Amino acid sequence: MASVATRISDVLYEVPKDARRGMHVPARIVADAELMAQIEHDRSIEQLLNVATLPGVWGRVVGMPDMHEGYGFPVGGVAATLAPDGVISPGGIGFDINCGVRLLASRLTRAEVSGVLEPFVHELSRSIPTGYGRHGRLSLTDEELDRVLEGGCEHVIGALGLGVPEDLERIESRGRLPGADARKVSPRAKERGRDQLGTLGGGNHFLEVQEVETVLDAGAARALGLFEGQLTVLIHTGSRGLGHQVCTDAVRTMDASLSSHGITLPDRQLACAPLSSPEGQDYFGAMCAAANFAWANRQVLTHRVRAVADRVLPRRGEPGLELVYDVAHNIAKLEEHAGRRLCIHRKGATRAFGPGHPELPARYREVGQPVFIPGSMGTRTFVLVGAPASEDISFASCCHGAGRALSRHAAKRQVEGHVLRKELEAQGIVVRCPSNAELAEEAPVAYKDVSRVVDVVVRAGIARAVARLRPWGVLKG
Amino acid sequence: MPRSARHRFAEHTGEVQLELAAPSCEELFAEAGRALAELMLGEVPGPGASAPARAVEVHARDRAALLVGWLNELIYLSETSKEVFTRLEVERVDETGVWARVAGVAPEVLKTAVKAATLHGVSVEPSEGGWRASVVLDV
Repeated sequence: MASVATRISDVLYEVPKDARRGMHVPARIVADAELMAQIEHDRSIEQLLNVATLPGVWGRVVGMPDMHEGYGFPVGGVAATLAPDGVISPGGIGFDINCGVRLLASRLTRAEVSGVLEPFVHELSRSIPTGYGRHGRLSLTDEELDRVLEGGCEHVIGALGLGVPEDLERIESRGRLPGADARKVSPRAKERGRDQLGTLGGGNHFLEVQEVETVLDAGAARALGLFEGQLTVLIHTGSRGLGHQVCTDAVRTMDASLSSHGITLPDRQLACAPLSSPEGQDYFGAMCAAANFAWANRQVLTHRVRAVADRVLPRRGEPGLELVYDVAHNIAKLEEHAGRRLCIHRKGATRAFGPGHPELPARYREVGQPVFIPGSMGTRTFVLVGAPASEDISFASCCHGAGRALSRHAAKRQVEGHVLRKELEAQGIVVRCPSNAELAEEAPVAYKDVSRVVDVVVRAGIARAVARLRPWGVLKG
Repeated sequence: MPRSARHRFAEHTGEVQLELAAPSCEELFAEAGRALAELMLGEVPGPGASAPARAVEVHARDRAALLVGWLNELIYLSETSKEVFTRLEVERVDETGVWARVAGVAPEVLKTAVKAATLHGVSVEPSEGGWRASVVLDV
């Protein structure tokens, strides 16, 4: 694949649309030479070019510097389709619909809480269910679940009181997509999600207690309420089994309806349907509902974290943990770009509106949308804000993490979980993860260098770096 | 012909690629279920499950989609009943349907969260007098 990509700047590569038969648009990859070499190591570019063949795809498809091979779409891929008749593809969002990251910030410094850090992490681990299939404390009736699916965070905060009204404007889309239709979420999906609200799940999901180690942009950090030494909490999870089943249902339906829409695909997992078709509309309604469930999930978790913080951390009469922002990285949204109404698929990529965007809350309109780039477990997280060039380069999108470099098997061959646990503890990091094997799968060596990924998006003009956060406690499913 | 059913987890950067071979299509599907259980439990399942009693029936538009549908059915049943299905008797597989009975164990902790089986590069085909298959699981 190396020969098809032309380097057009230090941090941009392009594959012209005539590089392969069937491509409707060119592909652009945001990467420097070293990250490009890693990207070319697997089949992610081939997968990105497959996406460029989808009916109605518009402008270009974009690969982020953390891109790696997925199933159908690459992870770290962005694609726009022209509404209303371009396709929507469940594989372009993924099984974990609205997997995302939210950052909470205290007014305390890490130094002020150093004596209670371990009890804080321990109490969080007791309060927050982790692991696959684990249920939470809330088990919802059909009516309650439907209200969460359609009301998202507005319902969880407004009706259930699990949060404060100020949280809403600090969540992408205020934690509620209006296109949600609970009737389009299958009984099976509801059954899987019924007792999972307020759970972290397994895989690469985690919760970290962190400290703002370095402020990289003083003005932007001030706008986000961040300062050096500050204690923060990062939550990374999504829509749990409910979202997985919504995707499973839609892929099956759309795989069966391809011929009726005259669609042929290079990969069956790219199953799709015109957004305006009954299959497209049904999936869009269900996907929006699953996205709302994910935001509600992170909100319930926030409520639990705040309750533990109130019990364990010193209080100074100030609000405990304030929400900085919550951003999705597996989602499709209807947005305006270049004067067109587009369905933007972000698979392992986050929205990153630059300064002045009307959808941003007043608090962040001048600085740009906050974006969080977690590294691997036990390494630094970066806080960024969207910058103006993101609009032209990537439909206002940014990378979502360090990106996997090694398979889970390869990681386990290189790293022993119990050794890694000791290494993390030697750095003063409190680890709560029941399985050494699972710890090894998410070891830092399995991921690309997050600093390099961040450096590339900053040099490309997609985002500005605001702060770097150091972990002190890790809670993993 | 493969003398007995077998599976292996092949390298894939982000997910898990499962490769299967078996003397018959029924054994191939049963092996796929056992591999799923091994992945979820983090070890080769031991004894413990009772005789397979739960009937499972899945239909799909072709044999490849059927393997994906079968695994997704086990994932769904696993998550909602909090069981991992370690004993699987696949009674019949044809081009568009699978009929089986399964029984499981209820582990305290699962090692790997399997979100779904995908259609990405999935194949189920006759080979050397038996059957082989490949499927990518999202974990």
